[in-house]
Amino acid sequence: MSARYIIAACLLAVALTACGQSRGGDPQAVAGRVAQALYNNDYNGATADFDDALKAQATRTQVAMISDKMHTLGDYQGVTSTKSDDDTRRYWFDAKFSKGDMIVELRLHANGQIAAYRLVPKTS
Amino acid sequence: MRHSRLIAAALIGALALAMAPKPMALADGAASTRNILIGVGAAAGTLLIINHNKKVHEKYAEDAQKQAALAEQRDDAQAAAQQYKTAYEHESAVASELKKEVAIQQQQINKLNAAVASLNPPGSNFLATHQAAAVSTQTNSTHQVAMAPTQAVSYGWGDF
Repeated sequence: MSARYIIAACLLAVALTACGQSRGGDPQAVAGRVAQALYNNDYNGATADFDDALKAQATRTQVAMISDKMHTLGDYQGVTSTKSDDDTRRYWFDAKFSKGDMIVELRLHANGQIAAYRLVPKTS
Repeated sequence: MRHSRLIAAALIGALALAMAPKPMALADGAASTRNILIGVGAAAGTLLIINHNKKVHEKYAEDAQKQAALAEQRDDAQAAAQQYKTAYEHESAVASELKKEVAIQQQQINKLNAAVASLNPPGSNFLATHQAAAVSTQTNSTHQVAMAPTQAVSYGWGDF
């Protein structure tokens, strides 16, 4: 009986750890989460991982504008990593839409917060 | 002057002959000759009158044509001036409409500038130019084309 509790506690700990890592550490997850929130015009979701400086800069109008830009490319289908520089914690992703792509540029602080997040529309 | 007297005499003669009681046709030769001469004189007078009238009317017609031409030129100038004035008035109206259109467009530009300013306030780099492609060369079968770096717009927050 106690062994079952121990196993359950371990599984719970593993799950919580995984959740915590996915929330803050994985650059692709962070980039995808912010991209999804921007696509949904979700200001709070988009800025949740921003550092204080970025939170002070970001406005709802800007989020709405990016959301409009994304919607012109169709349905959001996720991000895939294209390049990374772990030393400077800079990451590049391709944000895929049903009718086009955008480049996502992400720079993270050591604590996992976002220091820079930029979207570059791809020109054909 | 001489022609006028001749014409007047011929006219008087012709009228006198016309007013005179018509003699009975005489069968003798003298009478016939006289009748012929009278007829010739009357015809000549009539021709003179006709010719004179013709020349007078030609002169009048010529003068009238000149007057008509002058009047026509004067009228054309006036009409042209009127047309110029009308055209100017129309152009003024068009310019006024264009001014209104420019004012409306300026208002729209100001609104867009304000919108852009609200999107990219001072100190923000939400809208930034982004170097999209590095300098490279592209080779095809006949030419080597230098590809200059292009500037793209990026949206976001923070310096990458």
